[in-house]
Amino acid sequence: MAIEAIKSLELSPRPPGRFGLAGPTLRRWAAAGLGMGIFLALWLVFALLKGNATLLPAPAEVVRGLVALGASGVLAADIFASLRRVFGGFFLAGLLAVPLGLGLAYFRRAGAVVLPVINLLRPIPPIAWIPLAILWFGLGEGSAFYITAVAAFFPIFLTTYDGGTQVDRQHIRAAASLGAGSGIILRSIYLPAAAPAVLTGLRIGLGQAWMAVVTAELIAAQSGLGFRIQLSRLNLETAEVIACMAVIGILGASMTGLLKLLEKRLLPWHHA
Amino acid sequence: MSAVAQPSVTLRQGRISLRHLSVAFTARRRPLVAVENVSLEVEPGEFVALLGPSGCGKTTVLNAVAGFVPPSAGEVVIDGERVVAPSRRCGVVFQQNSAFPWMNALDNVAFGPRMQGLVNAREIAARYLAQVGLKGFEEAYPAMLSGGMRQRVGIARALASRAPILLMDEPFGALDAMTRGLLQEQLLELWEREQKTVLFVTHDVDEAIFLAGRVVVMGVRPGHIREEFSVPLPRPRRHVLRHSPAYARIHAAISAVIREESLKSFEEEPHGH
Repeated sequence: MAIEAIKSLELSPRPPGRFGLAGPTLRRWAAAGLGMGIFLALWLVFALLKGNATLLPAPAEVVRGLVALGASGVLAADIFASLRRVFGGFFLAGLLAVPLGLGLAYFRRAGAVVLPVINLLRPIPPIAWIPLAILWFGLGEGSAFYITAVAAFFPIFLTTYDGGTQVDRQHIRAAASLGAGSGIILRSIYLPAAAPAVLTGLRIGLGQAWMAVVTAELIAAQSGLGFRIQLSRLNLETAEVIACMAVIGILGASMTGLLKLLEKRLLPWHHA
Repeated sequence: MSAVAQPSVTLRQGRISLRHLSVAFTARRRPLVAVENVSLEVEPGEFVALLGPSGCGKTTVLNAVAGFVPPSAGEVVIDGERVVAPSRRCGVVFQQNSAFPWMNALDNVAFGPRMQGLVNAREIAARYLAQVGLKGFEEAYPAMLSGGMRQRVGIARALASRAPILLMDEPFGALDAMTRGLLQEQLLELWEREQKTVLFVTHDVDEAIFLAGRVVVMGVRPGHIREEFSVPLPRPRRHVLRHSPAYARIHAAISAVIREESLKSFEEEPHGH
């Protein structure tokens, strides 16, 4: 009797399942297109006003530069070089930061020892490590991996650690009273509870690694998008400089977008 | 139905004995006695409400019975065994949001049966979900459900583990009055069918009287048992009961004691902390 009453009272909220996506998605794309259009139009206006392709080339010239770089094959090689460094360093950082963050959150006493050191190292920008990296790993890929790993490590570690410390005590108690031992609590409660923070950390870390690799290549590399920007600047090929910048922006945004998509796939409960 | 109602088996289990239970915490480096010298016997199949103003230690008593916090003196004994850690003998329903967000409703409820290694855990879970009126919501994650529905997932989860004792810590406290009233009736229906021992913590006088056969009123500073009231209202109870003269008499008696204790904690508040 009471059950029926509650049903009629509460059945109106969202039923399980996906919502129709067509309407809102279309509107979002339209809004994004509008923003991009305004941005490009403003750029074009300023370029025409300036009338100097070396200071500010128009969008069309940048596209020409992009096509030229692409046709000669250097663009693909540079993208490949940069991406390899990003993912190499990011992978190393994730391998280290995720277990360390979760472990230190789980064992608070160890965390109290290690965390002050990490808080002291964190404000040091990745570029400041370049001299040491070159001394330790030479001018090759080792240095690049090191710099990107340093850049990615801190956001991944700190976000993961935060997620690990915020596991709800109530969930642990509930599981224990249902008969779960510490192994199952770690696997079925602790890890899934921390998972959203881990994925957020990885997303931020990847973005940081991407920024760091370009900076590092501007200073100390013979390949990659940062190196290409530097070379184009020396040749006064401003269109190519901006073309490389555009590629960096597009690739970075795509990686973030893909990771967000992955998050939704892996953690449907978190985006319900 | 047949797999659920086994009163003959469960009735003999579920005796809770609190013997001179005290629980102390360390707050700001100073020991704080949350509960002092509480003794209470709860019979198998009994529905007892722990009622009191905030800060009277009623949740602490419940946590000690559940094995979540250790006694500083005295002991909790369940069916002759001393409680030293959380165990399957007590199903616990928390105030809110204790359903695991990363599991859908069915997996939440199946968690207990799975821990017991039951191969038909999903069937058991589906049955208990249906019992709390959530048939059709098996695949829904907690975030997609309303507060009342989430609490019912929590109740189904505690029931599905088939513990002889149900510990409930203000399970309806965060819900609106309408939903709360309906869930109270539903809980009574389930309890009448399942014959479990229920220890129910609340600060709501109406809720305590409507649900429990015995209301244990706790006082503050430190938490202790102030007075016990038996509630001789007939069962099965339905909401119309709230308008009866017998109900009003008990309500008046308990309210007077509660008011006294609330005033005490209210007046001492500035100096106490």
